[in-house]
Amino acid sequence: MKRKVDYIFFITVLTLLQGFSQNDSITRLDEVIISDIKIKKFSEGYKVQNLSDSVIKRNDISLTSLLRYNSTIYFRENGIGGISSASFRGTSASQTAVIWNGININSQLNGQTDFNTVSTNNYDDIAIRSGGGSVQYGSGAIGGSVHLNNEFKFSNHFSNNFRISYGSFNTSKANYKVRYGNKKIYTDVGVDYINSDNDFKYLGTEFRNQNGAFQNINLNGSLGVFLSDKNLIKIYHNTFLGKRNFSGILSGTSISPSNDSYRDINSRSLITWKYFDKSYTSKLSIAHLHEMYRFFDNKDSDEYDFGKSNNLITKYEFLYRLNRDIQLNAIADYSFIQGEGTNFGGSQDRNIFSGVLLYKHSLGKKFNYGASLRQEITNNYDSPLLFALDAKFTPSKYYTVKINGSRNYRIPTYNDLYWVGPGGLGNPDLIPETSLQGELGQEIRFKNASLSLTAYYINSKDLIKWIPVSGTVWSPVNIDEVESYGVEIGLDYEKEWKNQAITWNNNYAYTISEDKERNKQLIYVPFHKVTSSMSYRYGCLSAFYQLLYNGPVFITTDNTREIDGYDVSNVGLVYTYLKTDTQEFAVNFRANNIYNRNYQNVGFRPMPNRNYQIQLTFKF
Amino acid sequence: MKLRSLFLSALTVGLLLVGCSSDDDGMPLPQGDFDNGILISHEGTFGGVTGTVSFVPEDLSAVQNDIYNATNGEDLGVFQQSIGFNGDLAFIVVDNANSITVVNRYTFEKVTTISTGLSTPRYITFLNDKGYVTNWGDTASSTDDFIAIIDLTDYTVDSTTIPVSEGPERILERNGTLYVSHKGGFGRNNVVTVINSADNQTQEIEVGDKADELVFDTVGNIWVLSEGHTEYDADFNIVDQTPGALVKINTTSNMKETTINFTGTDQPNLMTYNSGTIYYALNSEIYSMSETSTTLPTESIITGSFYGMEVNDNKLYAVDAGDFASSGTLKIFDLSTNEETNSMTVGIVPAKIYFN
Repeated sequence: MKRKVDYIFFITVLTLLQGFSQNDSITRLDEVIISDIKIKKFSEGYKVQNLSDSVIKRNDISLTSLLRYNSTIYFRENGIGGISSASFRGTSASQTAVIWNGININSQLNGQTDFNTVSTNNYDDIAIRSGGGSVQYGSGAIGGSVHLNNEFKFSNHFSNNFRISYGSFNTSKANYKVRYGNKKIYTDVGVDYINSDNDFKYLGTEFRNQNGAFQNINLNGSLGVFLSDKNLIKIYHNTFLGKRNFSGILSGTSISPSNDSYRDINSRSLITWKYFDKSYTSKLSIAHLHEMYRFFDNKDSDEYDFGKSNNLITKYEFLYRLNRDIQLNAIADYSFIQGEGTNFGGSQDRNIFSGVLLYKHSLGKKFNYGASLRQEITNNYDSPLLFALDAKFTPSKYYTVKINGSRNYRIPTYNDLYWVGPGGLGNPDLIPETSLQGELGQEIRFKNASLSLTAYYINSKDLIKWIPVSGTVWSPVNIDEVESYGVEIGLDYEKEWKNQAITWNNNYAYTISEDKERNKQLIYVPFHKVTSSMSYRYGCLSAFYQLLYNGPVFITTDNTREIDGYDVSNVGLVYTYLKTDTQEFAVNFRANNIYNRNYQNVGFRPMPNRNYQIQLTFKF
Repeated sequence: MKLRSLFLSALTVGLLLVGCSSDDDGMPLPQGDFDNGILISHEGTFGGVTGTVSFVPEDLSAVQNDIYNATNGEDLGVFQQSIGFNGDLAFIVVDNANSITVVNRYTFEKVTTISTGLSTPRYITFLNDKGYVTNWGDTASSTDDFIAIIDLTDYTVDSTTIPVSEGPERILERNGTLYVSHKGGFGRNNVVTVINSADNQTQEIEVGDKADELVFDTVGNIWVLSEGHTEYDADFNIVDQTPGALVKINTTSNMKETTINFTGTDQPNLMTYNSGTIYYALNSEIYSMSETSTTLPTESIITGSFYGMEVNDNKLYAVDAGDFASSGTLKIFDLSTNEETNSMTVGIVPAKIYFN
């Protein structure tokens, strides 16, 4: 049993670089560090972008902000702190899956994850997997999936990390995480808090953001125990408690005041038992996902609308290594979901059983391919047979080609199926949205730089759309067909010399996403998005500059009206006083929207003007 | 203060009188770019499109979209509910913005925006030097609905309001009495409130569920169209469904005079009236009936699903809001043949039609 820490780190770093390691023989060690191993093992022909710890720490703690400035994913954010949804490769908000330690956590009620409820502080590893992933990750992995992973480090250590910050609009944040580990046990506990008045000025008007205050708490904990050399138990937990007022909108020359308040709880627990053998690994997981929201139309009143769901997932995975080159993974998964809410009448149950087969074959060191299938059985609708094929070819250490094709789906949500309320009526006869898609990617690596070029095509049909069925009642139907295609370019540069280092990361996405009936670009999908961030370190001082350009988006389906494009730049300065290997003190100053751009990313909702934040970090 | 408002009202009345007398001699000249034509009020969308007003000249030669922004360089907000006209002024009611923007109805130049004292305003009518505005209040509360009273001399909202039951919608005035239909907001209601403007005393007349449009007939009685109500349980079974109703209220006695009930699941909407004929929409068809009829017509005159409709000069004007996220259409039908004569693209979510 070699649980050599240094070696483990070495592997982690290597895997971050993508595509080199075909070290299947060291599965075990790899596993010790990162839980969601499938993302690497069975996604070789896909574009996977890992966001390093330094990138995560440099950015604001909301997942929206991290991904907005560091990936090609486009966000529709109802102002800072409001609901935030992703559009990945021109797909809809419910076509991006968020995977927490291997479990799909998209809401059963609306099919989405609110990216403003995820605190990046809680995760050690955040990865973006582009393209279809429904076979492995289930409903919604059409545009792609975002993976949030907690690491378990089985080595002797005890560390504390405390961060506190204060900034504009009376925004305070605090984060504390303690970790302890030895060769047999690893545990961590973290708490994360943010509170903001969020009353920024609407540039060019006399108004401020009204009723925008929010307060979020995230609680996190992990525990891993090696019962024996062959048995590992891992427990994960995360609870999000949000209390957010939803701000009014700038409507004409006045603001439409709001008195809304939204309180939500998202709680996730997962326990896995893993058994390792020479030729196989067996893993049993039981997860419980709980979501609950209360919407107060008047925050001073006790009356609210609510929705909640409980999802109990039992999952068994069996990974079999036939030989050095061939691996087979079989997964059986059963979900029992119970949902209820003001607008669902009584309680509604859903049972979903799915079976998955994953196969991977390496032909020498330069070529490997994979094939996989998923079939789901549920009492609510007929589910299509899903498949995925991928291949990776690395003819030289400078060049890699990746190719994949897959069929994916997005199941109807509780809102789609069961909504009974003023103005809306669900449709129990809906079927899942399906997509057929393919992607071709190339990566070129130089000494200090790497370039990736990816082209993709997605044809989605039976898209669920709410349409007016009478003058006042809207109902969802499987009607739309959308064709999305585009190009993504990534350019990274990294150089280190003496006591200096420079990194420069760039992303560009060109996205066409057209409604097949009208042949028009979908609303809220920009043709162009650019992110660029540069950081420079000199000794203990480092500085960064971050730029986002978001092209104009249409806001009407006939493309007659649009919201202007915008660019936003942020800068930061970090002074790190490194006392010892285990102790650290850092001061971080950050200025956002330094050019004071007046922009909106959702209509009627101005985004914050120039703002500042100072943060202190202690590690001991 | 009192003297000042007396003076201002005298001045207003004086100006109106001047306006009338000049109308009397000879051909009236166009009083602005938007005289002699149709104004279309658009609601806008929650996805970021403001409410707008389009102008279509009488000869239907072209559509001018968003004339408010073109004239004043600013937006009206969402959702633009209705426009009320008083003298040379148009009052644009925007419910979510809690505002009423006052413009010259012919030039569309802004006079002022009233943005305090209103809470989800819906429709406006006028009496003497006052404007009466229906307000839903907080849409979650069924007990805070009211009629706001605007002083037209200084465009302020009186601190005194007239409390009414859930979801007041249309409002008309006759002989000092105000009639308010109650569609019920996001809840449910089935009455017309009658308000004596002298003492603001109210009484309710029960009509059908979701009372919406109000029109005067030839003799000045009021017809009200109730759309009917549907309620579902969790399994999509209809647990309660009422059909629509047409009710005539005698404006002298303020009593119901005629009730014509729709049958089964028929839930009509979009009633309008012109020269002795009532028009309404039902199940994607448009029907017409004489105001003297006591039974509903069985044959429709026009087929189509619309979001707003008006009749003028033997023509029926109807707007289609499409998918509520793209440019809508104005269609014009000749009522002698019931054939469509014109179709033109207008703004985003067209809802109300006014003849200027």
